[in-house]
Amino acid sequence: MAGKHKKNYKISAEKPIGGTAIKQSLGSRIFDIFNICLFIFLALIILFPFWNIIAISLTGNAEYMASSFILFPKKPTLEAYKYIFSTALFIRAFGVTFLITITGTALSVLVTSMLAYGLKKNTLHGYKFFMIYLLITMFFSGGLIPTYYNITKTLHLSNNILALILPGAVNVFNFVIMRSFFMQLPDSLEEAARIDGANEYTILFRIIYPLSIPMLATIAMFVAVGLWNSWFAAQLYMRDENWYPLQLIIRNYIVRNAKPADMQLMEGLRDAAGNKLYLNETGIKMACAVVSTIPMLLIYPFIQKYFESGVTIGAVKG
Amino acid sequence: MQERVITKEAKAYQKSAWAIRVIFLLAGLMIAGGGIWYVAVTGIIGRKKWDFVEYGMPPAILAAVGGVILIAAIIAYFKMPCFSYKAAPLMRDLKRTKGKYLMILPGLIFVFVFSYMPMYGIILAFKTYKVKSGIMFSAWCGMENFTRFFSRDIAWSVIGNTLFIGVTQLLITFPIPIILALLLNELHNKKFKKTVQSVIYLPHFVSWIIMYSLMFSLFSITGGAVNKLLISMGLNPINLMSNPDSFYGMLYGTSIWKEAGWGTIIYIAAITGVDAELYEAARMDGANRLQQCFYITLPCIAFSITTMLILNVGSVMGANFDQIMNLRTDATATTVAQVIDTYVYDMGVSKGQYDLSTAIGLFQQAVNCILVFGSNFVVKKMSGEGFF
Repeated sequence: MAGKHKKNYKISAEKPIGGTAIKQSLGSRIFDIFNICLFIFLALIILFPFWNIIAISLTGNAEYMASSFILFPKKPTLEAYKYIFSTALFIRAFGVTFLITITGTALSVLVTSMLAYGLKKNTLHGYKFFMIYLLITMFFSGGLIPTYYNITKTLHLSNNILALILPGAVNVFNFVIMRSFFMQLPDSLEEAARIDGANEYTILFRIIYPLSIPMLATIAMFVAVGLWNSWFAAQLYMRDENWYPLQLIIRNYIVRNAKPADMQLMEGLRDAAGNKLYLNETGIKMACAVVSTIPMLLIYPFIQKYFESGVTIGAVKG
Repeated sequence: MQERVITKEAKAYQKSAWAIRVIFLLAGLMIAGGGIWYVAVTGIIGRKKWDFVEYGMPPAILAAVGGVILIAAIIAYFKMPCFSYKAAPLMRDLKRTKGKYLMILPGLIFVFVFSYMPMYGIILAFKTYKVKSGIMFSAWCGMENFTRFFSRDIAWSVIGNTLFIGVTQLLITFPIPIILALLLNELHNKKFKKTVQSVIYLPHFVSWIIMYSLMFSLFSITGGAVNKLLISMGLNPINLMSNPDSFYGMLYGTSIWKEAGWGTIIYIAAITGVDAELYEAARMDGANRLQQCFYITLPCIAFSITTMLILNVGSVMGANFDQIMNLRTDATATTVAQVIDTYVYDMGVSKGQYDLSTAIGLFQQAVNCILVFGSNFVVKKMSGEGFF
């Protein structure tokens, strides 16, 4: 009994009515039921559009044209997925997106964390100057055209994949979060290591990094999601369709309804018997959308436990 | 003995200190003056790029000499005996923390190249851009680009759209995460709560392009699931995607669908931090759940709410470029969906009017800064503590 009471006390912050001794009123119970129904309804509203595009992508052309509303395709077919993975353009775009996301995230986390660790203590000479130098960029920027001009005309990075990776290397907002996290770590760790003869890099990579995994994972996730979903930089700087990331291909195909050159071949597709094949084009569009979303959904469960704790780190310390 | 030596050196330092200060000042003036001269002389009448040798050389040489003097002065400060007394601790610190400087160097360089170098391009807002002249050699034109923008009929509709979308979207979408967080807090079943949280965070990770695809699959006039259902029921299909009247509704709806769940994280964290004893005490006094929510939870998370509100007020003037770029259609692109950001893009990147769009972007940034610092000022006055 005592144990039970203790348990109730412990979780009462999340469970205001939690005490078993207090009987719930009728209104309270009705509210609970209403609350559960509301959240089930919200969850369905959020999940239904995803299910809808999956269902459409699995539907054949004849069925898509004929039926009004497809909750479950009667004859699910993978032809849309087979088709998009038969186009070189799509596979290439997938590779380009992976390349941008992985290198961009690694670079950003590395450079930003080095900056945050270096500026952790205000005893560094020029500390104030460096902080102002960095924080100014949170409020002022060149704006669209000067940035565009800088990348294309000054740095000559147009049609170069570096233009999609390098500009995001330092994110000052992430820098602030990392720095406030590093400041919470006890100084004695660092000093002990320094006495043992460790240099700054050893301290950062061997001592600070292992202690900051939740925060680093959260930041890495934000950067990775941002890079995976980015399309604007590619639209500005890339001319060669072979170097387009996935999102830009999808944008041109679905949002602007311009079929990529590689996909024009769809008209001439024939089956084994030589008959003209009609593919469900909306299904193909939706298959693109599904395929581009899946990698994010696959890593989502692994990082969820980190970001719930990680997101608030910066917010608390601000 | 030692004391006497130090005072002697200190005196020598004081004598030389003024000299080195003057030298530093001179070097700084030469660099700044060379820069100003260069910028002025190269843009007054609009030269070509190859005029550099004739007009750009003298100021460039002036600035370069200034730079050499500056470097020499820094070396002198560390090396000359009369300064070494004052410079020694600094030198020792610099040597000791050399590793840290090397560590922050790459980050500082990235910031310089990708954040500060574009800032120089802002001068384009006050110039008439010519491709052959580049930014530096285009002629100055004063405020002409700004007057050109504001004299256009579309200017006020663009600014109006931006502010209208920013303010209404803030008012409509801001309270929803708070309400959701309070309701989530009332869920008892931990497993159910976790599952719900996982689901409502999900849309945040979806890009606006995929968001458009989802909308398209549901509301496309010909093939959208909802419209197909309506047609099969004998009703008229609704034109949501390309109807100017429903554009704002679509913005609010998609914002809520995509970000409301994610927005709860910060409030849930704040609610978890509320002292459990407060609830205990309230329950003893007979407070019901609604009263606990209004008199304990809400006041306790009020700081988080104001924080988020201010962060959002700062972005009233153009935060949803990505959303509007992907949700606008031909029917709405030039009317209700034309905000400052998209107008800058259309004018600058699509039509190549670099000078005009730089000016518009600069105007937008100025307003943004006023909003951010203004809201911070208000908070400082109200709670005694701002963000910066």
